[in-house]
Amino acid sequence: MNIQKKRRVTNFIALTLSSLAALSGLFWLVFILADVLINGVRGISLDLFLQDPAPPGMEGGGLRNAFVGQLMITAVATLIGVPVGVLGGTFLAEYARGRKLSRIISIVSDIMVSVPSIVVGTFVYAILVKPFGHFNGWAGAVALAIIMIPVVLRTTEDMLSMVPWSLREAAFALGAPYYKVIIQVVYRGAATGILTGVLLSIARVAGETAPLLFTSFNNSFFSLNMNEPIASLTVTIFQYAMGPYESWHAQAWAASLVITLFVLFITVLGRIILKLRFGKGNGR
Amino acid sequence: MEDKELEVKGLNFYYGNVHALKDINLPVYKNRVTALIGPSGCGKTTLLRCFNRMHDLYPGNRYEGEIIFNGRNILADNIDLIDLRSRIGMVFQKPTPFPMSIFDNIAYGLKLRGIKKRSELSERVEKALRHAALWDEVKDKLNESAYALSGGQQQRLVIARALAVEPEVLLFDEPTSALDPISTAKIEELTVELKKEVTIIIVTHNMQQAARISDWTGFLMLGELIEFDRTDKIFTSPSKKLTEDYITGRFG
Amino acid sequence: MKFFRRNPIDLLFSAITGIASVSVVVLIIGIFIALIRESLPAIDRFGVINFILTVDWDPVAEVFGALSTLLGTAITTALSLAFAIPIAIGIAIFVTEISPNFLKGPIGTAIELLAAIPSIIYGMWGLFTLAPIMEEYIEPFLQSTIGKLPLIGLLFQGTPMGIDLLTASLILSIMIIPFTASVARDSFKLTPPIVKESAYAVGATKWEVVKDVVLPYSKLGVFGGVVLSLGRAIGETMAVAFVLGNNHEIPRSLFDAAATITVSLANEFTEADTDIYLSSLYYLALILFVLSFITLATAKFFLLKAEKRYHR
Repeated sequence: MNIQKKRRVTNFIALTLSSLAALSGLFWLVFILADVLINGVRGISLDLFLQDPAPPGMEGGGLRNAFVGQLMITAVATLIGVPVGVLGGTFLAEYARGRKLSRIISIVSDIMVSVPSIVVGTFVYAILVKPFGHFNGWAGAVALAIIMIPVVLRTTEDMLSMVPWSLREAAFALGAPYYKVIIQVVYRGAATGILTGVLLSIARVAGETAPLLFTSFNNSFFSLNMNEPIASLTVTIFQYAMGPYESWHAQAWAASLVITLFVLFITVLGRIILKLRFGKGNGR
Repeated sequence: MEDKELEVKGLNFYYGNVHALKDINLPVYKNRVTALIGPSGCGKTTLLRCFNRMHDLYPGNRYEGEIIFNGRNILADNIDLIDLRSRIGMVFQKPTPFPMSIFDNIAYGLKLRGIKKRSELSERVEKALRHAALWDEVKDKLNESAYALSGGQQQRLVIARALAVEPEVLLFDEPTSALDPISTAKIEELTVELKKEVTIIIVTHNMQQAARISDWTGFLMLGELIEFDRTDKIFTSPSKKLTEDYITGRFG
Repeated sequence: MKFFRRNPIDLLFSAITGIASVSVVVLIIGIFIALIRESLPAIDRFGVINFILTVDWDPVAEVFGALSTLLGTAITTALSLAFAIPIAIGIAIFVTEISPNFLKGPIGTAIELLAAIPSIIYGMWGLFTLAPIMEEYIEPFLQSTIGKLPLIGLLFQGTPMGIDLLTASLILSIMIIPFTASVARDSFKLTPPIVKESAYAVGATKWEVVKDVVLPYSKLGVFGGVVLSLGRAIGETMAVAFVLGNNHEIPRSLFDAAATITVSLANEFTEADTDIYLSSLYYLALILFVLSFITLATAKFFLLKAEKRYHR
């Protein structure tokens, strides 16, 4: 009977350890979020959004330049990345459906999703910074777009594949050419899913720092000129956190809080949309 | 009078708020094959899974009443499920070999019980495989993956695995529903053979199968036990109209 | 499959979508070519084997070698996986086998959120919160316990500063836990319930079911997930950039500051004032790209194989 007792004890220990592991996952999440929240709230003020940085070492000032820069870079990246990704995904799920080419591109995209983002930064430096002799906002946007494309492409492919083939057949039966079927029927069927993919890809690139370090670089002044270096929140956080001034640290925390809230909000929103859609689909 | 191996007394079972089994009373006789038949969703599998407390794996399930086994109520809270399940084995609808070799599949239950000696394991694995009429087909490839066997062989492997720990009762949940007719015939023969040593309860949707291999038959509908009697009686002169309608194919 | 090439607009549309999808392949090949082109001066000057085996990283003397950074990458990656894998598998076991239903959702969400937090936030938190805790409490504690042991104690020598390999690995492990856990969870879920039930039916305990049925059943997928996390860990920049110190020396202890490929790139790329310096950094980026490409392709291979097995 001893063996039975041993089995039971082993079982208990193993299950307890697993539960502790799960708890530790929660622990880190709460720890990090609480820390960002507590430290970040202190630095949040209206000035943070409306003022440009004060000279180094001086109190006051804000990060208006970085907020605006981040928005511009992300917006341009989205404008490049989303169409390319959606169209590319369309090809894989529609015109090349079931073909080997589609499979290969799909696998390459999956790999591309996880390629170190700093490598993308060095690549864009080589093609868009070095030739022009100076850092510029376009380069940063392109770097982020390169990261977005495979994400959007794969989600679009998956979402389009989930639209039942019979729906397309019904449209073909009415004599519509394939492109009209795709645009008028398939895209409509998959719209929520694709939109969620786009949202999640924006959340993904909004927090990226490494690809911006050598492309859009940083700019202590307010600038709307994408041909010049442009400030971004993430690069500013890196620079300020590594810098010597208390006021910089406080602003870095505040910027961290804003980015974290933004990214988590979009992520949660994306999940909710997917869940609602899924729930509805299952219910009927 | 026959010996009772198990006795179900006033059993009610709930999946959450769904009242799935209603006041079931039923004896299970020792060394006999008892078949549970009835239309889909009648609760026959639900009843079968009460005997080894399979329902405990999922939250929200609740038993009321008693199932007496060796003088104890196995639905009681203080029952040792690990021990219970080693005495009441189960074979499922589809073959369920574990991801290991043929030998290790059979030896698994024995190893759990602390048998480590290679010679004893070999002996008992061979015995179980012979019992399950599988020995001759697999004796040369005991170390190969169990997935290499055919569906029918896998199902006999699973029966051998259940037999290896020498249970007192075996629960069969539509064991031939995924098999071809020849494999089905082998399992049926085996079932009749096995009752010399174990008590068998079999759930089947196939009435001919129940008629061929069982000694006692219970007919369930909508969670109630409509009739329980000797198999020949049920299939020749059932006492209830519902039973007669079902076995003559008027519904279900 | 059906092609509807008769219509000219359709032809155009299919061509545009085709170009868009091929762009991913073009980009990845383009990255490879650009990195090789930019590294050529350094490859010419330092060779391959020589570059990999040289410790020196001296911008003033213009001598560059990758050994210290490669070692830093290898140590932080290995250590972070060693921390992360058991915890991630524990989480996966908890979520699929132990957790009551009402907890499954929240824990799943927590894991997803942990994965969504940008790496720079981990870096900030690591620098301002974790590093001081490591310096004041955890590292002195480790030094006074494990540090006293023979051999293994050597790894815990030196003054605990909090900015070192151990802290960086810990942050990295917190970052990769969610990836590993969610892939492991998805693989566990592929185990057919009926096979698990039949293990319970021969009297196995829950842990025995996990160990003998679920884990062997899902090992390909779990392995793929671990390799995927390895790929992420190799290429992660911002989470470690704050807390590693960018020190190009061969580390002697886990309490030493060090450099990884990514950290060197992040810190030095914009400061590289000579062509050979920049080219050497590109050389590092090229090595990183090749390493992570191989790792990710391997991961993908195992995940696809796992998927195929279950959908047989």
